[in-house]
Amino acid sequence: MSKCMKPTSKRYNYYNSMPDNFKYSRVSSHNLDSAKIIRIQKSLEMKLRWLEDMQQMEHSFSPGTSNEEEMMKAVMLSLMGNFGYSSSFLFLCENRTSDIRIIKRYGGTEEDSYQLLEILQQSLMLKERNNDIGLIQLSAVPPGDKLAGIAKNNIVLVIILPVEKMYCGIILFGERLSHEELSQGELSLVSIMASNITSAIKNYRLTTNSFRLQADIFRTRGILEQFVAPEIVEEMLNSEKHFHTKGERKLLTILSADIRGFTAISERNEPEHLVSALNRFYSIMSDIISKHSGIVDKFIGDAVLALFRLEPGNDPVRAISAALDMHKGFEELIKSDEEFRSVFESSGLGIGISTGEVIVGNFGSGRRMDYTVIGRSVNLSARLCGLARANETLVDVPSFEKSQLLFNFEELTPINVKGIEEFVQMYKVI
Amino acid sequence: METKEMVTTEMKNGIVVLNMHGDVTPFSEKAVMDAYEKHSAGETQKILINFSNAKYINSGGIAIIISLVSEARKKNQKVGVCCLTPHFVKIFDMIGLSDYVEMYETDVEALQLL
Repeated sequence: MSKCMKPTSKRYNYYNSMPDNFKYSRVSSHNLDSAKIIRIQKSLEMKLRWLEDMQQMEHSFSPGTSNEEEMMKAVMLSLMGNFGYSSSFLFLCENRTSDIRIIKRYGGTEEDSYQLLEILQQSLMLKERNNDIGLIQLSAVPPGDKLAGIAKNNIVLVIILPVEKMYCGIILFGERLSHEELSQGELSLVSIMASNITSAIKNYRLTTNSFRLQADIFRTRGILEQFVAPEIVEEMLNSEKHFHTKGERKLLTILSADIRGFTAISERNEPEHLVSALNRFYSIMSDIISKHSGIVDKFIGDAVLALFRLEPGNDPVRAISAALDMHKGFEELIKSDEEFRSVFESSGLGIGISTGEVIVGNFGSGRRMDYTVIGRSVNLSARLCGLARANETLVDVPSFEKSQLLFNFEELTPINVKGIEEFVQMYKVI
Repeated sequence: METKEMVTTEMKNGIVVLNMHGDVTPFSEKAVMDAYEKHSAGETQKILINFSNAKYINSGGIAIIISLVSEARKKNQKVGVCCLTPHFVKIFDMIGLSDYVEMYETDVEALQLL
């Protein structure tokens, strides 16, 4: 850009009307102290402006609203505006050996682009860049390198981007509007800027990756929660490395429930109707169990296995409360849902509750794992469930002892159940 | 943001006036350059950039102005700016941009003297 005639005298009137502290640029050059002060002031102001710019840019570099090329473009414009260059070029190299392209140009000409492109393509220094983010220090460009030809009074920033885009760079090219050569201080400033840009890009990448990771976890959580209880999903996602398989001893209350006469029901109904009715049953039962802070361990056919463990010492009370609500929920489904009624009208839930120490964990092989519980109480709750008639809830002694003050029970005659040697004392919730 | 919200244009005294609105930043690039390209074709010899409605100009915004001035000079067009705050007058001076454009305190002066 060639320099034009000095502006009209009006400009100087305008200048003269400015406060004294704005007049530094017209201080006579013979006053060396003033000139030095002016340079320092100018340098400080430039630094302040850049810091302000960087702060703004870092705020605008947010995942989803920008990409790295846009970030580089913003940096290029900021450099151009700060250093007063008449033209700037943004280039991108797709791979280590070739295919350098000028992807954005401000000012300058097509010829400038071709000239720069040729230099960039012949620069050994660029070809030898390692795959990391960094700045090419102009002072480090070997004299024989083609890049040295434009290094003298231009700014060249090269920032390494991801592997597929080996590097992305900025060249501020041509004469500065002020016709001043770059001072050592300004070159130092560019180095500081490059560090800031590098940090901004690193932060951007970390944030972007973090967002992606969070989205993946969110998606995974959604999928897992369709199969296992949210609390178990949380435990799985929080577990270090592999989800452990050795199991853990815990004192839990186990609730087993199933629909009385289900085998006969399934034989006389179409599978589609049965599945549809069962899905509504699962949905209502899950909600009720969750409401009482229990977790559904699994659904097996018409059976539900739920665990109450979140508030030790209070588990049987919550399990029995859930059982009573499950009976009500089942009855309400029969009343309100025609299809459900047509399938399960003459039926009801049988529920067994047992409290004791069980092994909780992820059981199975590396290919197929199942998070569940095993132990005497699991077996006993299933047996009690099997003994319960429609709309009945049977509980074992520990469950009775911890909840007898809150519910009414009927003591039943001890009986022998499969898999348990001694006679089992049980109570019916009434 | 729409072009009309960042830059409005008008023709006064044979001068194309680009009125900057709000923040002049890299985001203004398309609006500014589109407005310039659209209204500076043909016989246009004078462009006035009016900052009276500009709230803020950052370095990227200055780069856009440099880019516009550079394009205008290729077409032998004369560029003036007006209504800059003293702070931005200083910045235009500091980077040397004031040597390439005519600077005026008000739009009235600019339209008379450019």
